[in-house]
This record gives sequence, structure tokens and C-alpha cells, in this order.
Amino acid sequence: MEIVISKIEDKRIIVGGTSLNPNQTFLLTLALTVFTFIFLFLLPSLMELKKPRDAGPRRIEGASIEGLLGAALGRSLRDMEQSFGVQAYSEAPLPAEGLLVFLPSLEP
Amino acid sequence: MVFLALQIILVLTACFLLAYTARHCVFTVAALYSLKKRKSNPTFSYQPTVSILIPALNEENVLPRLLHAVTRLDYPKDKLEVVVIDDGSTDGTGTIADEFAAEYGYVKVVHRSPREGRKGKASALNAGLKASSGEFVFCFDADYYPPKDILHKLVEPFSNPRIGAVQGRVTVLNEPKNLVTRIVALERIGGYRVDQYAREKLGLIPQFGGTVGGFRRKVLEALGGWDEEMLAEDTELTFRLYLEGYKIRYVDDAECYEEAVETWGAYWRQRYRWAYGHMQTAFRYLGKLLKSDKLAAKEKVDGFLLLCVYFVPIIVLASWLLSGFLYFSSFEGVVGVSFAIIAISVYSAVGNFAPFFEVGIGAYLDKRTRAYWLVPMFLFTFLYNILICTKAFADLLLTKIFRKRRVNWAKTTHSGNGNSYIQN
Repeated sequence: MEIVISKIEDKRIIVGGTSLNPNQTFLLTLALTVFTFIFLFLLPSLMELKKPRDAGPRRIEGASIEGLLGAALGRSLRDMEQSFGVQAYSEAPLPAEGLLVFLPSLEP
Repeated sequence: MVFLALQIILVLTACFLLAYTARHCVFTVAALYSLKKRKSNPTFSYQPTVSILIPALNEENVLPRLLHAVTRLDYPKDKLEVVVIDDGSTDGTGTIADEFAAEYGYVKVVHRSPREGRKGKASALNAGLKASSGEFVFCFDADYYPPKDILHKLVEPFSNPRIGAVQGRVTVLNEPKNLVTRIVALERIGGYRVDQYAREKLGLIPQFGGTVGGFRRKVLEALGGWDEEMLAEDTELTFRLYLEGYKIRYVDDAECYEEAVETWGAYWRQRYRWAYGHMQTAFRYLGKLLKSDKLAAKEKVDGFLLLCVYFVPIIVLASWLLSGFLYFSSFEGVVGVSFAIIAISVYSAVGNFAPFFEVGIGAYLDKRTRAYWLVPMFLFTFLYNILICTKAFADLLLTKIFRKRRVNWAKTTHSGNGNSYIQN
């Protein structure tokens, strides 16, 4: 049966001219409706969080990203060079393509 | 009589929220129909001397990344000066900066003791300004990562003498990290790709965002530098600059990565600082803005809405409470209509101040495929921002009433996790 809520008057719901006092079934239906609405509202977000397909970071056009070994380790240039015995920071420019690595997914 | 007054207040708040809805609609349409992005002059012929200021307090996790990037900028090195302000760090920040200074002649370090420094970003920037000499002064926060050609793009608008400052675009580097960083990334898309871009296109009030931007030195010095009493020193300087008749240009293709906050606690502290500082600025400049003879009417309207933007969540909360009270008091009249207007406006006008459709359109313009699927999550950040802004407003009022010292600068801690998204 289709219930059409025609108006709300004095905090009582009037259906087809008859006052409807909220009973347990009505409240349960209302709660389920609200829950379903919230679930559907958040569904796209939950899907994208569960299986990220567009998690970024956004690639900046023309950005030139070079060697960042030292930065990644959070160590100073000299410490790192002493530790590894190599010149850690490459002077040679590298192509931007392929240097920014995006996590394909946050799934374990 | 009381009910009538409450009704009038409710209608006024509804009008206030509708003004924001209209503003965001205009911005979104402007961004959408200005698809041809402004490209900087590819010849990069304008090359004045430039100083980059980097305030750093305990930033050893991220400072090497930024210093490495600035030493790789393709700007002529004889016209470049990099000033790191070690603002009383107790970690390896000072040592890292010194090592870069030893390696690169154009890198300078200003060391401040914990007693001398730690008075906020504005204080550190003023110290850096004194130690620098470039014709133009740029600021980068320590957690940023600029691309090679950014200075050329940011310097170019200064060839127009009316331009006092420029602002580049901020993009989140550690976006995949978690829900917080993904939400912040979307906020940035809405705020820069749509909001700032539309303001630039419509000749309104593009805002200096405190980083990835710069000033004409003589203008900055004439204005007295950064105001150390303000928590939102960038917004304050923005309005001081406009009131002096200068303009700010937003350069959309001068993009720079930032490392966004990664926890809700850090989000709260950062947004609280922004909200508090923005409200401080609003109290100081609302009157001056409306009386100014240096600004056009449309700039005054935009400036007014920009200054009041952090009051919106508070007004929304007040409207909810007022609407509920009037509704359950069984008082009829315009209340029902106003309630509907508020309800509609709330979710379209506010979503951490970059409304939902602005974020969605921004993601579309950025050619994102599914990032905007997270837009419904803004419902929660919106509620969170109501709490943040209400707390900031209450604290600001208490500070003003009891003439207390202002809230201290709460520094954002950077983990350096953004490095994992950059690889050799």
C-alpha cells in the first residue's frame, strides 16, 4: 500500500485527512528509510575508499622531480654522502615522466 | 515581539547563506567557462632578482626535500637568493640548512634561538625579509615541493607595476595517504582550481595564501612586513595590500605540491588557526574595506564575503538552533520558508567553505576520474568545521573581552610521508 504523507499539522502526520499517530512500525520504517538514505548517500565514498581508483597525487604538468633519496630518508646531504660513499643528489636532470609514482591502490 | 525579532534574524541569516550560495555558483560557472587556462609567457624574459624565504621550525623531515627542489629551480642562480629561517629548531633543521648553504652560495641561513624565535610564522618571515635583498620576495613553507619552472611563472605578473603580490596553486602530494589527506586534497581543488581561479578571472579578490607566492619588496617594506599579532598573517597582508590600491594575481599554472595534514587532530589545529586568524582580520578590516576608495564595488562585495567566510559555519549552527526553537514553539509565518531556505543553502553553500559543487567541478576540470566520489564525506568535515569555527570565535571573543594575549601559533607537524610519493 502506498502511503502519501499529505501534510504535517501540529506535529501530527496527516495521511489522507486522517491523523496518524506514530507507532512502532512507523518509527521503524522511518529509521530504516533514514539509514538507507544515508547509506546510499555515502555509498560512492565508501566504494572509492575501499578500492581507490583516483587517489592522486595529481601530476603537475611540467614538474621535474629529481633524486630525493636523502629527503626520503630525512637525512642531511653530508651524512648521507658519508654513509653511502656516493654523491647522493644527482645533478643530471631526469625526465618527469615516470618519476612520480602513484600508489595504484590502498588495498593491502 | 521577541518572536518577530527572532523571525527577522532567521530571515537575515537565510539571506546571508543565500549570498554565499550565489557566490559559489558564480565562481563555479566562471571556472567552468574559463576552460582556457592562462598560460605564462614561455620565453620567461622577465627575470628580476628574487629571494625565497623558508621559515622552518623543527622541519628536518621535509626541509631537505624543499631545499633540494629550490636548488634545482631553473631560475638564473645569480638572480636567486634562498633564505632559510631556522626559527629555534631543536632537531636537525639548522644543520641541514647549513649544509645546503655550504654547498650552494646563494643559500643563506638565519639562525634564531628558541627564545628569539618560535613567535609564529610572521615573525620568522620578518626576520627573513631583513636578511634578504631580492627585488621580489617569495615564501615557501618547508613541507612544499615546487617544480623547476615555478619562479618564472610567479615572477611574470610582476611586470605590471600595479601587481603587489602573486599566488600560485597548491596541490596535495600525500593525497593517497588516508581519508584526511584525500579530503584536504579535494578542499584544495575547490579552493584553488575554482575559487581563486574564478576570482582572478572575474577581477575580484584573489587571496595571498601564505605560501607559494610572493611580494614586490618595496610594497612589502612600505606596508611594514607581516603582522606578528595575527594568526592569519597572509589574509591580513592580503587586505592591507588591497586597501593600499595594489592587486594580487593568482597564477593557476604555477602549481606546487604540499604535504597535507594527516590526522583529524592536526586538521583541527590547522583549521582552528586559520579560522581564528581570519576572524581577527575580519574584525580589523570589514569597516575599512567597505569605506575604501581604492576598491571597486564588486571587489568590496567579494572582500566582504571572503572576510566573513569563517563566520558561515557559526551562522549555520545558530540558524539550526533558532529554526528548531521557532518551529517547536509552534510559531508560524515566514519561519517555515526561512527554514527551507536555510536547509537548502547549508549543504550547497558550505562544505568547508568550498561547496560541494565547486569541489566536484574542480575535480572535473583537473580531469580526475573518481576523486569526487568522496564529496559526500564533506558532510562530516562540515560538521567538524562548525565545531572548529565556533570554538575559534568563542576564544577570539574571550580574548577581546578579557584583553588576554592572543592564542599562540600552533605549528603543524610534518611527517615527511610525502616523500614516498616521489621516487628516483
